[in-house]
Parts: sequence; C-alpha cells; structure tokens
Amino acid sequence: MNRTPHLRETIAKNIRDNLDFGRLEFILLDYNSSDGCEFFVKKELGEFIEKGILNYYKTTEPRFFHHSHSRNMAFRLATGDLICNVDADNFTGFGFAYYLDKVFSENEGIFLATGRSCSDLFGRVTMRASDFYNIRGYDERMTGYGFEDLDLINRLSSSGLKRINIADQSYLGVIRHGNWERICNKPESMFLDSILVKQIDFYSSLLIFLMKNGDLYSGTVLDNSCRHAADPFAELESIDFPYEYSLLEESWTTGHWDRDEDGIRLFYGGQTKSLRGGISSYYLRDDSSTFFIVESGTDMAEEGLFFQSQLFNRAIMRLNSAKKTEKVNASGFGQGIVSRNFDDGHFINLHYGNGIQMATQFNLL
Amino acid sequence: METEYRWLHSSIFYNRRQWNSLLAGGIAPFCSAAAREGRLKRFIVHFNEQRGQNVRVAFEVKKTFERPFLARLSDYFTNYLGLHPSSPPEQILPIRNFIGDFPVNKVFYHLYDLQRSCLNPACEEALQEFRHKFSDAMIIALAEEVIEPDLIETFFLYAGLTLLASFLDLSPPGCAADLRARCLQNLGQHDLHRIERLMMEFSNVLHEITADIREGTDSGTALGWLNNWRDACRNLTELSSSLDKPFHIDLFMLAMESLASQTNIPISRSRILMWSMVRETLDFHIGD
Repeated sequence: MNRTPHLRETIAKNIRDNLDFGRLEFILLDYNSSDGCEFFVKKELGEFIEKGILNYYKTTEPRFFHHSHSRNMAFRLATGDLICNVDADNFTGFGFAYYLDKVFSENEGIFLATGRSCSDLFGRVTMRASDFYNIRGYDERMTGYGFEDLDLINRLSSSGLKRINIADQSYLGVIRHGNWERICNKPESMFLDSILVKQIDFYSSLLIFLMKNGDLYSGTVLDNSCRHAADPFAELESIDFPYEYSLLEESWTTGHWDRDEDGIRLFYGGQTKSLRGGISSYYLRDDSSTFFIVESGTDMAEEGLFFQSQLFNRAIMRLNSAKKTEKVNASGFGQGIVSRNFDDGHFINLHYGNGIQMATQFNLL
Repeated sequence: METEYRWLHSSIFYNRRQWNSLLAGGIAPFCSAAAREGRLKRFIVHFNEQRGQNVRVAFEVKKTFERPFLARLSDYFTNYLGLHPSSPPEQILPIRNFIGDFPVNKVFYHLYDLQRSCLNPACEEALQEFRHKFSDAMIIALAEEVIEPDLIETFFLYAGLTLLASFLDLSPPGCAADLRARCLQNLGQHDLHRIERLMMEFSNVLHEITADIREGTDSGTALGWLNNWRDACRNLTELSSSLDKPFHIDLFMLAMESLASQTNIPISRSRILMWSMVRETLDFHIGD
C-alpha cells in the first residue's frame, strides 16, 4: 500500500531482468493505494500487461495495510507451481527466475529464504504453491509489522521442508528506507493520540499507547542489553538474549481511556488510574508516579509505534513456535474481492476456496 | 594467540559538572593502586552522556585477576560514590528515550565494548597505548576545572594539534597533502558552509594553541601534561611512519577519532574541528 515510489524504481527492472525466462507471471497487487499506483501501472507498465507478463490486481476494500493478508491475497492469485514474494523495495537481479527454477528442479522438499543479514529482505520467500496452501499462508492474526515472514519460515520448516538461503548477493538488492514507511499505513499510526511512558528503572518502562478512538495498549518494555548492567561479573558470563527489547508480559494489555476536566483516566488490567497534569505539559502524574507524554507525529512516537507493532507480531510468532503450529487461518486467508488489469466490470471473489502491500509475486508457471 | 589480558568495561554515572573531582579523586587513585599491584595493565577513559552523564573506564587486566579486580572495583566505587555523591542532573523534557537514564552515583558494567580497528596487532597495540596515554592526559589536564563543553573542546584542540605537529614532523614527504585531502573528503556539504565561519571564530585560538605547543611548557604549569602527551604522539607517529602511506594516514585518522570519541565530541563536529586544525597548521607551515 502506497509504495509506488519504490515500484517506480524496481518493478520494470525486475520484469526486464527476468523476461527471457518465459514461463513467468508477475502479479502486482494494489492494496487500495492512494498514491497513484493505478495511474503509474497504466502509464508505465501497460506493455507488460498486454504481453501477459504482468497481471495487475486491485482491491478497494482495505482501509489499512495488513502485511499477512495482502501477501496471502497475492499468493492466492498466483497460478504457477512456485511462488516468490518480492517486496516493492526489492530488486531481484538478473536471472533470478532461472536461479529459482534450477534450485527447485534439483531439490525436493525445500523452500528459499534470505539470511539474517538484512531485514529488508526477510520478505523474499519462495515456496511451492502446494506448500503455501498446506500451511495456510501467512498468519493473519499478525496485524503489526514484522515477523510474519519469520513465522511463515518457521512453519514451513516445521512442516518438514528444508530451508535454503539465497547466497548470491546479486539477487538481493534493496532500496534502503526508514521505519516510518513500514508502518505509516497501519491503523495504529493514523489513530495514535500519544504515548505515556512511566520509566520504572534503567532497563524497563511501562508504555501506554493512547489511541484517538479511546482504546489503549499497555505493556512493560525491557531493554535486555542492560538488564544485568548492575552486576559487576555479568561481563564474565555469556548472557544471551535473542532480542534487544522485549515485553515483560505475554502480550500488550488492552483497555480504554478518556479525558476529564483535570487530566485523563485509564481503564486497563482491571484497574482505573486518574492522571493529573503537572507543572510541565510534558508529563502527567498520579499519586506516586510520573507519566511522560510522547506526542504523536514525533520521531519518538514513530519509534514507539514501530516497536509496539513488532512486539505484537513477535508474540504471535513465539506462540506458534511454542505450540509447534503449522497451519493457521482456520477460517480462511487472503479473502476479498479484486479486479484484474483495470477491468472494473468483472471482479474475482477470493472469499471462497482457498490481496496493502504492494508486493510483486513471482510465479513460475 | 590468546592474550593473557582482557578488557573490562565500567560506566560511572556522575554529574558532568563534578567529573573533574571523580577523575582526580576517584578514578586516578584506583587506577594507580591497581597498576602498582600489577593487576592493571592499562585503562582508557571516555566521557559519555548516553542514558545519563557518565565516565566510562575500560580496564585491561590479567585474566587470572578478573574476578577479584571486578569485586575490588565494585567495592571501591560503591564506597567512593557513597562518600562523594554528585548532585542529580536536571530532568530534560520532553524525554528522549523510552527507558529512563541510569541512576547517578552508581557504577554499571559492560554497557559498551571498546571499538577495535582493523589494524595489524602491533598498530592496534600502539593505538590502545595512545588511548591510555590520552586518558592520563585527561585526568591531569581536566582535574582542576568544571568540565564544560567549551573546556572539552579546547582540550581536544590542544591534544589534536599536538598530534598533528608530530605527524607533520615525522611523516614521509607527501603525507601532509594526502592528509589534507582525506580530512576534506570527510566533510559533508553542510559542513563546508559552516567551516568559514568557524575559521574566523577559531583562527586566533588555533594560533595561540599552536604557539603554546611549539614553544614547549614547564612541567609545573597548567599545560604541564603536554610534555608527556607530546611523547605519546611522537611514539605513535614514529611507529606509524614505517607503514605504507595510506595506512600511516589511516592510523593518524583513527587516533584523531579516538580523541574525539574519548572526549565525547560528536563525530560531525570533530571532523570540522579536525579540518580547521589541519588547514590552520598546514597554512602555518607554509607560512614559515
């Protein structure tokens, strides 16, 4: 969704770099973008659509970006045996389709992913369509940012497939960009009022995200890198932590909030808290604690939203791993209605059977 | 080959306005005693203000002594900070981090690792020794005054110009021009616009400092630390001069970056200051 500036740089090049393979379909899903994607595709990519190399699908239903759902939708529109997700900011490099064909021809029971060196490339996962349907796609409970790819990879591995990492860097080009572009089309980003921060100690803080609609999300964030910093001997032990930051609780606690004459009231976790204004407009107080205010639209708020979004998804991934879950989305995935190649008179209904991300899906026929 | 020493990293959270007394009354006596007892080979000091004002001290100790050393370190500074607490710094609003600052008057451990360069072992060793000598200079030069940003920057200029003087005296021909090009290359377009204004502002100061360095100083004066520091700069430059020219300049740049890092001068600012020093010094040389 709304990643046309990236597509302008990547998609035509990606198509041309793989054109001579022949048995290839590019699927571009426009997840209700409002940044001129349709106009761009008509103007710049028409020749590829006419030749049947590119299929442009558009859904006008989603209001916000949903990584997992958009990917599932695009994958379901694919008709080939192999499906590869190529994010809008990715370059495939020359001959990538030949490479995929070769690896899958020579190996049974595999899927392809990228290493851990660059998070911008985590989305590049290639699998047989049958394997995608077997695990029932990306987990659509993951409404935040990140980890949906890692969760899919974990479940592909759990289903008995062997992971092969793409080693050739010429296939792994990417446009570098900031985190805001990753989350700006999420509902949380549009509806954040402010974040309240209660700094507990040198490695933990309570964060309360106040949404404009009165919802709130609360959780205690831990900085694992300095959790043991008071221990003189910690440096002599090898203390590993998988992530620099984590949530103390299993997941974010939800609740609601409102304003009254003197400040705000919070209702969450079975408690009610009244916070009053302080001398400064930068914080609120209750009887014992100070809650600093981080206003929406600031760099810190963006950082907080990105973090909240990631931790939300990470919690689901960990749950899937702990339960050794292979199949997700029991009630269906990638559902919705799309139009194809600007034909607004005919729609494809994906609500039955088995697309805002602007991901191009490689589809080896 | 595995070394018999290892670096241990501590961060002493203390109000910056009282760092001078911490350096002279806390850190220096501890390090002297530990060195005398043969437990400490070297130490390196960094000023730092991430998550609270603190002085980082990394200690190179014998691996066989690491546990007793850490126990002693912890006891010593717990006692010292209890007896000489600094005043808590003011809360800066709006907050800049979700996680709060570390509490003042406490020691924390392993919040950083000393940066390693990609140099050969002999150069790496020489650079660590240089950083250690600079830490000594920091303790002596900054012991008497409240450590404000202006003082830190002046100290950096003295230290940097001394290093630069050694470089120009001891380097093979052609190095000065290459260094000038390298420093200029490090500047961003934005910096270039600021440089002329800074040169106007700094020119007299740089002249005075350069004269101080060239004329030499008595050990008993406020600039007495410069004598030992000049030796440290010459030692590094002599070793470095035997390297191929690009590596020689690399080592000089790393040494200069160390001075900025240890005094907590932001890298963009340090590059501007460095260019000012290089330009002023080279012009001065040519003027001679």
